[in-house]
Amino acid sequence: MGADVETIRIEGSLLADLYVRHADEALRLSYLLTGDVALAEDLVQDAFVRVAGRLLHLRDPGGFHAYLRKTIVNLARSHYRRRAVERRFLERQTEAPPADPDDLSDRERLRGALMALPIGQRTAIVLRYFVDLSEAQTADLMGRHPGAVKSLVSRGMGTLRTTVGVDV
Amino acid sequence: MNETDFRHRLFELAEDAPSGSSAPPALLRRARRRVVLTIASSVAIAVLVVGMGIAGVRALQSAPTPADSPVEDPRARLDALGERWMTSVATITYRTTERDPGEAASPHQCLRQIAGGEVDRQTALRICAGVGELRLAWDPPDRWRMDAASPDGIFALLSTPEGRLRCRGSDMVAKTCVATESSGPFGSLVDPPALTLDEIGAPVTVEAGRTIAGIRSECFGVEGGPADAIHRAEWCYSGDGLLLFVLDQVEGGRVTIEEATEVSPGVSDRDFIVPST
Repeated sequence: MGADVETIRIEGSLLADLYVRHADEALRLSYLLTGDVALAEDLVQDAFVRVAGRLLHLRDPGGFHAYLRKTIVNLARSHYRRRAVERRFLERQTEAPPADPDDLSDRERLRGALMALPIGQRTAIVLRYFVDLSEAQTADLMGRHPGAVKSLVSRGMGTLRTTVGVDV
Repeated sequence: MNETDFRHRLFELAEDAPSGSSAPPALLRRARRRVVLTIASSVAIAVLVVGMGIAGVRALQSAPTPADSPVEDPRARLDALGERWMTSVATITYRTTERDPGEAASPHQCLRQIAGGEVDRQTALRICAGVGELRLAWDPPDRWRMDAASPDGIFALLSTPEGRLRCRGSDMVAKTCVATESSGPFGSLVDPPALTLDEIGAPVTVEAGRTIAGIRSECFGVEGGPADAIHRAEWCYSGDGLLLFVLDQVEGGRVTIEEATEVSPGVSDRDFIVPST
């Protein structure tokens, strides 16, 4: 990876190669954090542009993947902070009818439950159980204390236990 | 649902994410613009930093730092500054100090000695403090004018191509002016250092430079002569040759010190109007 990045020039083909190499994983992470295909794509593209712009300044050019992942997490967090204000406003305007749990597939139920978690808990759980990072790595990526990450995961999993029967 | 099931379900859910098999052209354009922008701004910052560095070094090299730079030949440097002073044009106010041998050791003692005499209080204070003020309109070699209020009184010296006049008082009233050849008690200001140096006949030393009237100066000293009449002199010049400080002292004799307090460029023609005689 380091060698790849060292040879990167501003030619489109190299940037395209870099995108193809990392986009799938980045999109999956982004999708699990947002639950929205279009939003996931937007976040990944924004993250890719940002990290590409900083390629020359990366302390560890070989860590493009890690920088991309961290940028996605940060962008998702920023997005939900912005959205929280809008959502509170919209909730006051219209009360959405509750979905009937029996009408949903397991996958949709899990997606709904995951998306219902606060962004911090959701990020901690996705990083721990999907990306398979350790508690310390998750804490580092989220810019939080490991104890805080443990607490986020615990509370999030507690909620999922009651909503979709996760027993971890 | 245990942990393994949960992980498996998460992976299944992630399969709903779109595929990134090819990069959208718009994304690549944005990324390229970003890279170019980053490189351009990095280059601009680097050029700016290097440019400022070069400018800083040049400024330091060209800045007049006389006291900090070593002088290889102090006599030559002093002569050069003295010559430059002889072609400078400026109006400078000096604080002057004069002391004669045998004077009272303190101003208080001095005031007691002259109390009850004919001098008024203001003059007595000036005499006993030993300090005065001198204004020099300097436009050599053709013309210069010195107005001094010193313990010796108030006088003016006017030098023009036609000759030199010494006038009592400051108003240049014709009746009080007389022709003179003397440079007065503050002749060190208008005479080149070479005169004093030749008289003392000792090597010139570099003294600590200092800021005088807000101007950084470089200073030189000389000391020598017979054991019973050691003559000491000191000069401080600005980098462009303005004379900012002069000390002239003979052991057992008179001491005169002139130190600039205000410096302004140029002179006024009104200073050189010769009174009709």
